[in-house]
Amino acid sequence: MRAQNDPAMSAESHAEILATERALARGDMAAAQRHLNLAIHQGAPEKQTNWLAAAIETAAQLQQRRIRGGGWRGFGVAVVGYLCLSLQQPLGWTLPLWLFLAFLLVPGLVGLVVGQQQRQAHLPGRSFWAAAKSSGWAMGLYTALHLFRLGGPQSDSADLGQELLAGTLSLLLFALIAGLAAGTVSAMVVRSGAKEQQA
Amino acid sequence: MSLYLDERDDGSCALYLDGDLQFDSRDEALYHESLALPALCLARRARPTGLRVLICGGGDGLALRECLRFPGVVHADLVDYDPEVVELGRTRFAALNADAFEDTRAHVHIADAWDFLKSADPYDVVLCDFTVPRRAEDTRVFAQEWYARLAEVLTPDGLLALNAVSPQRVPEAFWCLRKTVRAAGLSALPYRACIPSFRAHGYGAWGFLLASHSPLNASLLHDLDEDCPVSTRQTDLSRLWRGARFSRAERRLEQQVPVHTLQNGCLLPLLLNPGLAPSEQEAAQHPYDLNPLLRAIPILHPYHTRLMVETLAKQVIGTMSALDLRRLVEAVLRRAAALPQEVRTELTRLREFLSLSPMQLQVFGAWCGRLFVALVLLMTLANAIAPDNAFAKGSGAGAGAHGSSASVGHSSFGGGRGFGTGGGRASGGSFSGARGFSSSSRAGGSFGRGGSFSSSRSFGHGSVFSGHGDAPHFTGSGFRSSYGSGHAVDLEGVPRSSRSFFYCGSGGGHIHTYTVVHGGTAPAMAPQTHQSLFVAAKDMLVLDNGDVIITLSDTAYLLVTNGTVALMSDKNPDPLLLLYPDPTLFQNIRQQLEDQGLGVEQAITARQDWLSWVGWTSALLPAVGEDRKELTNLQDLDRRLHTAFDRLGNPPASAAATPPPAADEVELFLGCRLLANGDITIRDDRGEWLTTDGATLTTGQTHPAPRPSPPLLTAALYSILVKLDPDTTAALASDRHDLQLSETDLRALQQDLNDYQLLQRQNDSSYEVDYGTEQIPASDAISRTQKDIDQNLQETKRLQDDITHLTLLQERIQALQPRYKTGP
Repeated sequence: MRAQNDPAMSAESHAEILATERALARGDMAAAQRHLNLAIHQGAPEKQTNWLAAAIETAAQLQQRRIRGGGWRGFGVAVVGYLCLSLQQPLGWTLPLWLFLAFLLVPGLVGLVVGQQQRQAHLPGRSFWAAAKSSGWAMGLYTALHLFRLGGPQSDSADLGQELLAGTLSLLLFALIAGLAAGTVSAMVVRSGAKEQQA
Repeated sequence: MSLYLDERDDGSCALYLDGDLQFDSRDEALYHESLALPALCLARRARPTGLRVLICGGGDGLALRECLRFPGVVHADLVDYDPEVVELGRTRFAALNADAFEDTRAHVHIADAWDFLKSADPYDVVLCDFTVPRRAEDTRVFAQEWYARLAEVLTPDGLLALNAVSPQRVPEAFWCLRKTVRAAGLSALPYRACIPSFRAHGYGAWGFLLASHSPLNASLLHDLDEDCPVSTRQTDLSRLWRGARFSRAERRLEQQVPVHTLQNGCLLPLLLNPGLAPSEQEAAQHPYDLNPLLRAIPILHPYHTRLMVETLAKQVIGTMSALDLRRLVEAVLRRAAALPQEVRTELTRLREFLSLSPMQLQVFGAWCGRLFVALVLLMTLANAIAPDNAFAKGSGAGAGAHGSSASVGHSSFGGGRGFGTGGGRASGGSFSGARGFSSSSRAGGSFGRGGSFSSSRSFGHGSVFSGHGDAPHFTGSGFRSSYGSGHAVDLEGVPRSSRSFFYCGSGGGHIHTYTVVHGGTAPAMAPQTHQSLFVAAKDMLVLDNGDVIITLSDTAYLLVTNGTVALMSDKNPDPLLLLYPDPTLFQNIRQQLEDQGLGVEQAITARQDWLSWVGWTSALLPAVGEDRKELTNLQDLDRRLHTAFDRLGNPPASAAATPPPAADEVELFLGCRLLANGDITIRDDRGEWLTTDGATLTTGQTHPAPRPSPPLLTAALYSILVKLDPDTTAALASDRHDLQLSETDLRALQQDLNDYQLLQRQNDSSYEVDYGTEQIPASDAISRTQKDIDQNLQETKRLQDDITHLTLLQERIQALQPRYKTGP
């Protein structure tokens, strides 16, 4: 239902109804809800406001689902990416190439996938965290499994504690870097989407 | 009390009280001898004559029989409250108990044991042969107060033996009894015996307790068979002490159970509820496991079983699980008009709670499920794509080393041929030959058990190439701290003592121009000292300049370089003699170096991979810095191994493998043999055999006339013989030890075989016996034991042959030593 130019409706409420519809079309649920509240306050017909309220709720649910799904999709991409990297050790790839693949390419792909999925949500912050978590967890798993495999036969029991600590520090640092990279890309994608829409 | 006597066609019988087996005439002697004889024997040590015995329970008279046939027993009181059992003892069991009730020393009292003890005189031995309690009132004669009373009537050196319960089936009750006896002020020694009929009834191994005022320990049971003045029918008293061995975990149970007293009767619940108290650790590991909860429900009647409780509980749990609580509350609320307002409010709150909390749980469960699926997917895919690369199929380093170890283990430089019967068994790696007496080389060394001809310092470290196929773990710290700093290191990273070698020239193009035996042009180079850096095998060292050394003794060694093999002595920088360059030797060294190099390369790769992940932490963590140092050292070793490989050179193309020694010859090292007459012959680089008797040297066809043997050569050969002596001695000692063990095993096996045959004769062939860890039919046990005996006999024969040959060899070596001990 589009906003009708109801003679009983004031110009202000009509403008708010239109603003609500535009915000809804952009996917900006918070703005839509705000405009709808103003429209109700200014005496917009109940029939229209009810319809808009239902539309906002449905769109919000859809958005939530997309945000969640985006995170899992990103995790899947990261898993496949790191699986490919597992074919050989970092030195097998040569260190510069591995650094590029592990900290830029794979997280970048994750960021793109998550950002594209959540582009409509216009929430760069949430998109950042979703991508960061996906990529960070996958990198963490990738690192942990490789360290577990490599670390076992290396050490004396005396050094085991330090080597465990080294492994843990590496795992955290790598997961953090990969997460930051993926999150940044994802947030940039969402933000560019918002700018395009505004333009 | 119900009494049932099972009379069998073969004349044997079994007595059951309240459904519990009391004895089976076929093996009752096992039980009664195990109960009575240890106490009687120990009491007799303190008081050889005039022993007074009290038997509580045991109305069948079988324990009484054991006491009365024991010399020194002058008086025996038997107290039983069941006249029926005593009557059976007098009549039906009279043949079994050897008319014990008719003996003038025996005094039978039909009375309650508590009442009898009120006016009892002191006793040297007290036997408690009570039925296992099935009712709370039966446990009075297992209480602390009861044992305290017994302690009062026991003489200071007296012994109390009591029929306990099964430490295998009801361990808590068994250790509770021991704790109770100890709480009564007595020392208590637990032991157990295997009674086949008890085991057949599911009672498990049966437990006894021996108690006394003075301390008791298991060693008291060691010489029991020697102290026992009577012969036993079924019990092997010499093996009874084995039953007193309980693991620490078993003994620890005693700390967890209470003392059984008249006030706190805990014995019956412990008997009826074995494994009642789950450990805290178990409970922590399975917080949602219902089994600990179910086990906490006590069983208080003998005819109730754990299964009944579990079935009932599971039905209740099933009903509760099927109940839709939300619908129930909704239904109640619909009909709640008549209920008070407060109840309705509470029900409404419950409905709200039910509508919320399961949702949260479902969300949590779904999240966990997704994570788990993702992990499984990740690991499965990775494993499918790169099975050897990803996800813990064993480390590259470990796997590589394994291959290296295994291949080296079979690359015997000696070849294992020659003297005696066991030549073909030499499978261990050694450069120095010793083909002659390789019959004992089961442990993988060339001679005996890893002796070889290496220096005494390196002797015995045969784990690197022991031929067992164990993968080195690369866990030694040698490559971190010892390598290049005065220690040689083996592939495992274990530091070894280093050894210096002082000789003229080295490797790459160097040709020996002078030897002590043949003379020649004096070398242009000044001698230099080189350190051993890497222990490539038990007797093969790689020096810091890349030369390969094969140690023969503390002073003699072989220098293999540039296609030549020189016999060297620490006492002279020039070679004693150039030996025939046997291509087999070069091939084996080359193979060894390749294998070692492969292992080192894999270790390098493993460390590089590791450091590519965690190397950035080396500034923070010293252990990672050490890893870096280790990597540098391994890379250095790899370079040196390549140098050694290059400097090794090749023997002349015309060189052929040295033929094997004759049957009566012993190969000391490749191309050097000890002849039957005591002479030693060495093949020189021209292929001629030089023979020395210690004093003179015959140089084959070139100089057929004997000439004095160079003292340095004689001294080197002497050192090799001296080195051989302890190797032979060690091998002999090891073989003798093995033989001793083998013979002990054989005796035990034969004893077992006799036991099984006896049990099979007394029962049918399907009768099950305890075969170590499992119950199997007696016929199977007999066939298995017979097979074991055959194998044991073969092994014994082989060991005896080995010992004979080694003894002969040792005698020969010892006899020869004075002859060669004339060197400088």
